[in-house]
Amino acid sequence: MNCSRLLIISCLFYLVACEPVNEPEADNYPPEAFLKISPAMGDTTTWFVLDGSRSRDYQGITELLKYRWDLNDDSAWDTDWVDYPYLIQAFTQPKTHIIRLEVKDRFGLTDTTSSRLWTYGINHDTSGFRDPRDGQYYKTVRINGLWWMAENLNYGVMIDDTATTRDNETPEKYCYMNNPDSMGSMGGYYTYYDWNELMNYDTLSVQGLCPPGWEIPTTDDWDSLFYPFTNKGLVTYFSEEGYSMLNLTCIGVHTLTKFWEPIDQSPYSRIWMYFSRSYKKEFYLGDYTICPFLASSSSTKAFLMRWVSDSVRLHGGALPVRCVKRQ
Amino acid sequence: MIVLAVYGFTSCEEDVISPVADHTTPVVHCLLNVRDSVHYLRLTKTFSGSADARQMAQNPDSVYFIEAHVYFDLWDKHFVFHTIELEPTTALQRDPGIFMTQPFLLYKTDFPLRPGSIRVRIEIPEIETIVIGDLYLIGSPGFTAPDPKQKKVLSFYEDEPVRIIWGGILNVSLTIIRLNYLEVTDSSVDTCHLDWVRKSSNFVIVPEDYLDFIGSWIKDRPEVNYRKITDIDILISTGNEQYRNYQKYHDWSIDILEKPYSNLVNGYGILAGWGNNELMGYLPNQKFIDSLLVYPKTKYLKFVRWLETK
Repeated sequence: MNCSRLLIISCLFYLVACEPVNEPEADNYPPEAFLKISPAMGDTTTWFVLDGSRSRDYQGITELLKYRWDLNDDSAWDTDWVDYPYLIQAFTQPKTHIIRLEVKDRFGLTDTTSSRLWTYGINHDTSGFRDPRDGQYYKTVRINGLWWMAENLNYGVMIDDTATTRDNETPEKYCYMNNPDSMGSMGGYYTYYDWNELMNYDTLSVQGLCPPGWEIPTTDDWDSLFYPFTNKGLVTYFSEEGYSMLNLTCIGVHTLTKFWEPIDQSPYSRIWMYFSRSYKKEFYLGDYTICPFLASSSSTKAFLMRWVSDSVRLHGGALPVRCVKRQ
Repeated sequence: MIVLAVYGFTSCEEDVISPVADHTTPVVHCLLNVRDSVHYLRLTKTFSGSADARQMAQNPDSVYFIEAHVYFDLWDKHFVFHTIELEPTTALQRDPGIFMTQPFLLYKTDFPLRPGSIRVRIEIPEIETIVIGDLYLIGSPGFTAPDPKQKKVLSFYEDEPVRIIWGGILNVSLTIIRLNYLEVTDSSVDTCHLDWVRKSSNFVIVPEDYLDFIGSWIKDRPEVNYRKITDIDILISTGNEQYRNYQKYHDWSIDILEKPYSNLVNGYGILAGWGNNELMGYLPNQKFIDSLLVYPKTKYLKFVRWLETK
């Protein structure tokens, strides 16, 4: 075996095959890095697609670009140079993540770009309190600096659901099928209020029937909670078992004396609806009507928890209630 | 010296484009339509090696992954609001060919999908890979003309031409004018149809053009005593951009000089949405049917006159 001959052949191969490719051309410019992240926001179980495939090398061959990634913005590259422009990645820490992508052309010129994504995880900012009026305990959760009851209000005396609430100094509530023990695992899950009763018959009331120090949320409170979510996304995040820990309860239709009927088991249709203390013109069942049913995950706002009858839907409407506490 | 030789090869390797996967790659085929009651996804894998390809194609272990979890994630702009896991099934038969007919492994769900964003997510432990594809599932296209609420007659040779107009996602616009007719011989009555395919969603059916088409494609046979038009169906289909690309590169085995189209990350294949609709049972008017008997290209086809179609 003539080793020196093999050495010469090897070196020649390396020089001939590789050297011309790596010689920068005089008019070569750096490639242009482009990063798209899909989706832009998710929770800690979401698989994000980091897509660098739109990066370009206008003087060279885009297919020869190489890619490397910094997934935590610590200025250290988390991957080697790779040929594939995509990376599928989950982020287990709930926070804003800055992703950096660097692309390199075959002559070694590079370009870097970065983008952000947001991940939401389980909200651990939780607590609880006891209502001094009746000793009932409520879980609470803080979101965007505002404390929310993580269970529905369950205060007052149950009246029959065929009865109309009255301004009589007695806080009155309805219970599903007139059974005050039908509370489920979600506090006052099956408890709901007439809006005038909730407001203590004072449309300017702040506390209403909420515990001392707590308020009925305003429309702005609900809106700030929901931003920047869209309908079905916020249902997932805020409903039972959602990462927000707010545990809003999806509702169905419960016409008096009839059993609960979930509106639709389809995830396309799940909604929940709560009272705010704001009056506002709302589009309701084909007509603009004054009503406070604003905190809904449904764009139609066409469902109430309790209907007096199928023909008189609006005025007999009663809904579950959450209270908020400002710091 | 050997080290040097290896170095020489590996330093070049980075600049080589290999059109052939050097490792097992998932291959996915999934066309979704909101009107389907069951949705299917096919997952196979590329195979390579020294064995005969035809033999490998008959070996399920070469074609399918041992284990795979296939999900549809329903999206609402940012969030997954529902996840469906598809279940494996071998209930369907595959057409005979290079690949084995049984088992024909598919993944299915009967979840009623609606228009919206869907992510297909496939987790394959065997190769520690997640395959992801995104699409916007379109709804069914709707007709503007003919008006589905009006009488089901196509009025040729009238002041208003017979116009077909429909709307939807129009990356793909395919309209089929299906003429249904009977061919009657001494011994049989055959149900036949003739499809006129138009790649448009807005056009006028010029009666002479239609007669020319009929005359060109229906061949008379001496044993046919007469033909009788029963009705006309209008079938429309559309698709998103991925569906258009799917149609363009329908079969990767054909000779194309470009890279095969794929819209999947960490895999090859197609995830596309399409929609369809139809108007059934339209009748051409008397003038058109009677024209078949006198128009030069169709008068030999033995169509019966309008009165005899009643």
